[in-house]
Amino acid sequence: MYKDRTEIKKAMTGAFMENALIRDIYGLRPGKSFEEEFSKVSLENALFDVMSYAGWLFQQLFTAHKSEVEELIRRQKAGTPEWYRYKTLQFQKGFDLKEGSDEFDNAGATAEEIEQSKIIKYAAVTESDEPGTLIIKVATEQNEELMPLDNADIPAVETYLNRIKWAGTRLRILNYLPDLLLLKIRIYRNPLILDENGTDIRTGKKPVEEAIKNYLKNLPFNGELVLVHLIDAIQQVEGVEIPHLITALTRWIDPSTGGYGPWETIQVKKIPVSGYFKIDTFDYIEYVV
Amino acid sequence: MWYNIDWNRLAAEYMPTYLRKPVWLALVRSIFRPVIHLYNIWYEWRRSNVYLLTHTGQVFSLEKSLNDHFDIAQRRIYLTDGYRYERFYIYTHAEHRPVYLGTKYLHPSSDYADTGVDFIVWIPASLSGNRLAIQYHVNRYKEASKRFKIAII
Repeated sequence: MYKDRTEIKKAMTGAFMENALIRDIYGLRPGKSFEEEFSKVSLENALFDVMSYAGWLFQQLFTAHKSEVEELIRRQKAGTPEWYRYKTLQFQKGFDLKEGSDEFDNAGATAEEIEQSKIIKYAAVTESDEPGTLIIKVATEQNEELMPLDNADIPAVETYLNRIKWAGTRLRILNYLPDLLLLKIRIYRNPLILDENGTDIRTGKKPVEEAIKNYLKNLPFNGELVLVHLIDAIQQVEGVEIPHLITALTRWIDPSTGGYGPWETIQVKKIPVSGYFKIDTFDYIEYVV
Repeated sequence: MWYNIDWNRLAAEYMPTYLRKPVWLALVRSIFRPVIHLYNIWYEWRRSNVYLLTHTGQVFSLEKSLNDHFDIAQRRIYLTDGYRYERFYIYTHAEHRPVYLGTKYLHPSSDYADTGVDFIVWIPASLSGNRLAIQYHVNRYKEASKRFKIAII
């Protein structure tokens, strides 16, 4: 790489001055530079000038193209699960894609409209056991509670993802009601703090139920429920002496029937099929002394 | 743009004014002849690099580049997912598994779930002569491991 145009010119004139034949013909004095022997207005000088300029331009073209290519490679669509997740969250209801692009055409829309059109708040992408298939779980949010998207919006989401996906990849979009969670827990309470219904005598709140809700809320979307961690969270509640988990049951939407399937016991941990859990009822938490 | 260069104009502008005589300009332009040739090769190379990098195996993009190359005016080429038919078995007499056939359709093996292709490139019949070129094109852009076939609309 040459630093600048003069360096290129120097490379040319240097070779020119060293050439014995040239030195003879021009009668050049040894040890003198090109600039000393040729005037600035000579044709030789002009020719070297214009040619070094051409070389310099070429070098600049190559350098510019190199960084251009590097930038394009960097932005290449990866097709990784993380990329599919990002793209799913970018879905905008009621907007069309830009021509020949996988981005939405937001021309003329306000920031607020754009924000409102992004109806998918949660998404998780996992690889399915079926070859070449990705499972995309989606959910939205209302009043701080996770819930499925309106089923009427799903065809638009599917069309969008089928346009931008890599050809040949199968996508399955899961937009299910939350997995229900039923916890049977026996709490050995401190009777000075909690009454037999689990109510904090001083504040009138139900701290155990709040701790469970809080734990579930802090689980990432499609995050794993670990029973031991849940129990640990309950242990932190003031007035709980021993939280003893009897069983934890869950059931989820069975796509073939459209309704919830049978209850199943959770062993140790569980990733929700729909991506998120909802507590069915707290009725099976008993408080004993 | 930065990659467009008019070498002949540039040569003239770069010569000092007192040397801008037809004979010297002709000399410089002759010197530039191979430069221009190289530049044109580079220009094409850059164009195809950028095209290659801005087009991917994503459905919309592959459809676009296929139509750009093979059906520029009518743009009829499109992609769909491959079929995934379940296989249907019949048994020999000794196996005692009677099956009532009803109406059954025969599919090529590429349309079944277990041996099938992942996506299908649909082309109009008039392009069937370009099959090999289209196949090469798709192979260049598609995601590794994905199988496809070309079918006539």
